[in-house]
Amino acid sequence: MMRLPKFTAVIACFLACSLGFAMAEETTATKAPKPPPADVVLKGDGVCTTCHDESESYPVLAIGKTKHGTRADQRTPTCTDCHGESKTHLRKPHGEQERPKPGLTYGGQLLSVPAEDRVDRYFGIAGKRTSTGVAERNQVCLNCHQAGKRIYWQGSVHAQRDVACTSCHQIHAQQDRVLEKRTQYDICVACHKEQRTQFLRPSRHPTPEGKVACSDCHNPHGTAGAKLLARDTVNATCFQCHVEKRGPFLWNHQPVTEDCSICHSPHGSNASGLLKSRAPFLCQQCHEPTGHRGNIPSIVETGRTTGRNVTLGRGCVNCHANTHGGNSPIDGDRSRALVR
Amino acid sequence: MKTRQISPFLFFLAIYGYSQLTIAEEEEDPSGDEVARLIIPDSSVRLGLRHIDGNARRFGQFTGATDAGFLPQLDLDLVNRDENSGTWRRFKGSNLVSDRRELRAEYEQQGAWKYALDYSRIPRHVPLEFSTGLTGEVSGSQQINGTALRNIDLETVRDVLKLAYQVRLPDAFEGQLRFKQERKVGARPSSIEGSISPSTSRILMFITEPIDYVSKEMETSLAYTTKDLQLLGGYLGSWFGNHNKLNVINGVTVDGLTPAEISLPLDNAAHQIYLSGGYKLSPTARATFKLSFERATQDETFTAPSILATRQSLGGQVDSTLAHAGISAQVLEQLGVLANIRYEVRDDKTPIHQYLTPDVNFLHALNTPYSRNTLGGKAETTYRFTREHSLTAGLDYDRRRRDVPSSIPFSDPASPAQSRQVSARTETDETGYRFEFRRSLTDDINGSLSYINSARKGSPYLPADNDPSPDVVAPIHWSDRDRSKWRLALDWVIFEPFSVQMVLEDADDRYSGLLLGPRRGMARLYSLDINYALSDYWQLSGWVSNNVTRTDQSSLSRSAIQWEAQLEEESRAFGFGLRGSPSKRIKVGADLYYARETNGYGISALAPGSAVLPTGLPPEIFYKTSYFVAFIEYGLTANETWRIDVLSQRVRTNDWTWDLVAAGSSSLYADGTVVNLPKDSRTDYLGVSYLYRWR
Repeated sequence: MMRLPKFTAVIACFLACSLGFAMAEETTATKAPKPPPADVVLKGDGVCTTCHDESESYPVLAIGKTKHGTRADQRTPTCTDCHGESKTHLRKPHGEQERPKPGLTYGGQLLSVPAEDRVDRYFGIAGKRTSTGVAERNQVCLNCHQAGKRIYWQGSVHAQRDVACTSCHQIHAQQDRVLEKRTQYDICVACHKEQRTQFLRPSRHPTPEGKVACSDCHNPHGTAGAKLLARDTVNATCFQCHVEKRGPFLWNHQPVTEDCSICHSPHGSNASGLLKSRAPFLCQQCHEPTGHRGNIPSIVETGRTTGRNVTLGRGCVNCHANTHGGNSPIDGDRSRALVR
Repeated sequence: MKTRQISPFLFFLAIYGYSQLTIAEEEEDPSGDEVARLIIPDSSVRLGLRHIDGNARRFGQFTGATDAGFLPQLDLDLVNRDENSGTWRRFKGSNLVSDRRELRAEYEQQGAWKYALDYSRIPRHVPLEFSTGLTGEVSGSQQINGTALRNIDLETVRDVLKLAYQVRLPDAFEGQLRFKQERKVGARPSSIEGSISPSTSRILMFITEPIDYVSKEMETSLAYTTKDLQLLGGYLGSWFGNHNKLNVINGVTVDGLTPAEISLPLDNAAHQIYLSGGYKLSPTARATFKLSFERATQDETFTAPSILATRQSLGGQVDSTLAHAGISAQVLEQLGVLANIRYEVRDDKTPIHQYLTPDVNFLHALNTPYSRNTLGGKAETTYRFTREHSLTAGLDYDRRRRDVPSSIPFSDPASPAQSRQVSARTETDETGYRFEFRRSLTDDINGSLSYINSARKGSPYLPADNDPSPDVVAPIHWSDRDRSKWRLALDWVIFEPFSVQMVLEDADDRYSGLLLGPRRGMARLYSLDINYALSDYWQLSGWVSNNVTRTDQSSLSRSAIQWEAQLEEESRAFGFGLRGSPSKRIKVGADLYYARETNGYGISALAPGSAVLPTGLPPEIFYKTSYFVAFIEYGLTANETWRIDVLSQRVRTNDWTWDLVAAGSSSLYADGTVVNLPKDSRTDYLGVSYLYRWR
């Protein structure tokens, strides 16, 4: 009988010690800081990707497919570089009914469409649903992207009209639609309605087909010239592709040296050659009505310099073929008249 | 459509794409890694077959697909990123087996250097049908009626090649080198007025303008970027070369010269240096500038001797200088200002020589360089009186001073003069002001209401010198003009899934100064877009636009009838769109639009009592375009998608530009060439494609 209590005491001590150690381990484990959530895409993104993935309302992981998701480039941002520290978003303050939004939000994207297919402005709510001002949002981008083509952003028409970078650009998508020639047009005409109707006309640039992009002629981020043109002047912009019109010519045509858009409507026209109106009407907007210049167009009457010879086909250009300038030094006034 | 062989290069490219596909299938981790699928860039290949039916001349105008029949489809997007070094390799090709193929190859270590190569083919088919006896139509030596009438197609094709290199250098510098070469070949319709023989009268004959251009552009730049200062300086060179210097037309005499010769653009070049930059003056203020100088030259030897001038080439030289400075600042929390100024000088230094025998007034003998300087600028302030509401006021200024041809009295045979073909002004000034009220950043109604007003005036008109002239036309770009414009833009979320966008514009131009020429201009735009998300998986959109521009102008006929034309161009268009996902695997979409474009000419006599207008006044022209496109995508697996596209386009017109039926003649051209514009063309298109993605 005496042995039993001793044995029982040993067992009790062992159990007590085991329990004590176990409780001690549990206490230690409770007091130690949790390891940070593992990163999925960007440095330090674990705190965000714990909740945000592709399956819930703000799909984010596709950032990994973009230049922003290239971790080997030391310049690439973290989530909080663009969205702010967002402390109240991470830990909802007591008493708040809804979780506060992140420090910087961008909004404007339709939630039901996969990111790679979204046309933000078409279906979505452009740049709204956020308490972050447009300038503040854009500054986040400009912190890294101010140089190069964006030197003139501040003061540009788009900046002055509260256009956000994310109104056009998709950040969390491998294919940013506005950077693709074939889809850029859809983004631009979502706001530029007049150009949308002009591009339905028979004479136009192949922009809807994605062969000439809006950004081939325009720099939407601001320029030192007018109309956000890619080069310093209208003519310099046109000469990027139509350099044969640059001259200088032996026989110049004055409007050609000043501004192509005096005669041409670059976004579309019913008259061939993107002309603002057909010859002879277009030519009669400047030329004196001496000789045959002021004659009334007719599709029936005949005559060397009247009627259908100046109305049908290419109008005045039927004869004055070198409208943009001629180089013939042959003696005779038809050289100067841009006929040859 | 010209049939082109698929180059061996593209064939091997297709094989390469298929081999990549096979390799990818073999390497695919069968267990799958969902996170990797979401964060590693995708590669893809699309193989398909398209069938085009109907008259595709309009459809193929920019797509290159002008003939009915089958057309294969191959798109590639190969992306590889080395996660350790951040090195990207990308090859992207679209429409690789069609006339509008595009390729892009990139090799980049992100943040260090980048090489890029681009190739693009841009076709441009003339939608007209030509029946002509002209031969040599794509060369600089053509023969009128060199053969019996036959059908020809005209087109131009651009092949554009771009190379670029970019490198980050120490101390916040970055260098870039860019090169572009473009070859453009083909022909476009033209005509010549000449005689079959020196003794016969002049007639109009069909010819073409042969195009065989090579243009090159090279830009090298150095950028310096810090948080506060950004500088970008560089050199931009541009060269143009034309294989054909002359268009020699055999069988035609012009001014006693047989064969006739039409000059073509000669080689030219331009060299520009520039420096631009921006500086953060304070956390809320920024200054920008740009300086550039360009010299453009054209000094190729004339293809025909200049009898009167001793020069063998033009010696053309135009120097252009630009200076721009701007500042923008948020001077108060609610108040922002910006201002900029721009000064541009175009100095045409081309030597002036006598190239022609002067006319009886000792005019028209000299070449006419044009120089100009432009001073422009604007000042603008925005007051944000609440977070959502702001008011902007701005001033704009534009002053242009021009050298005009120095026409001199008609009396000195020893000093022939330049020709002034139109009434000219040495200076025009335009001043404008504008206001805009804007509401933004709200969840319901955003938009703006703006008003713009400007007035253009100028120096006294210098008379034109072509014949005893009444000098009654004020050229449209120089004439006095008062312009006013209203614009209302609304973006209204009426209720959560339903939003409306609306744009209303009304602009009015009043011209004055001389008796004839433009008198009034008008432009109106009404546009309404609606977007309705039926559910998380279905969206509807619709839009309607009406755009009208009108110019009233007058002139004077040879028989002294003063007449007016009301040139009106109106676009009426509407469209519908549907996007949906009936299931996780299926996506569908459809777009329909219809556009009716009309041009009216509204010719009337301003003195109807005594004037007799000619018969056959130009009637209204319309173009009606209907366009329907739809697709369905079926996701076979996460990486495989089948897609079916259908398209139907119909274009109808009454365009009389080339229609001689009303004229009672078979041809505008006396050589017998007949040009026809199809009045009703319909194209149907069915495409089936398979897309495979991998990582």
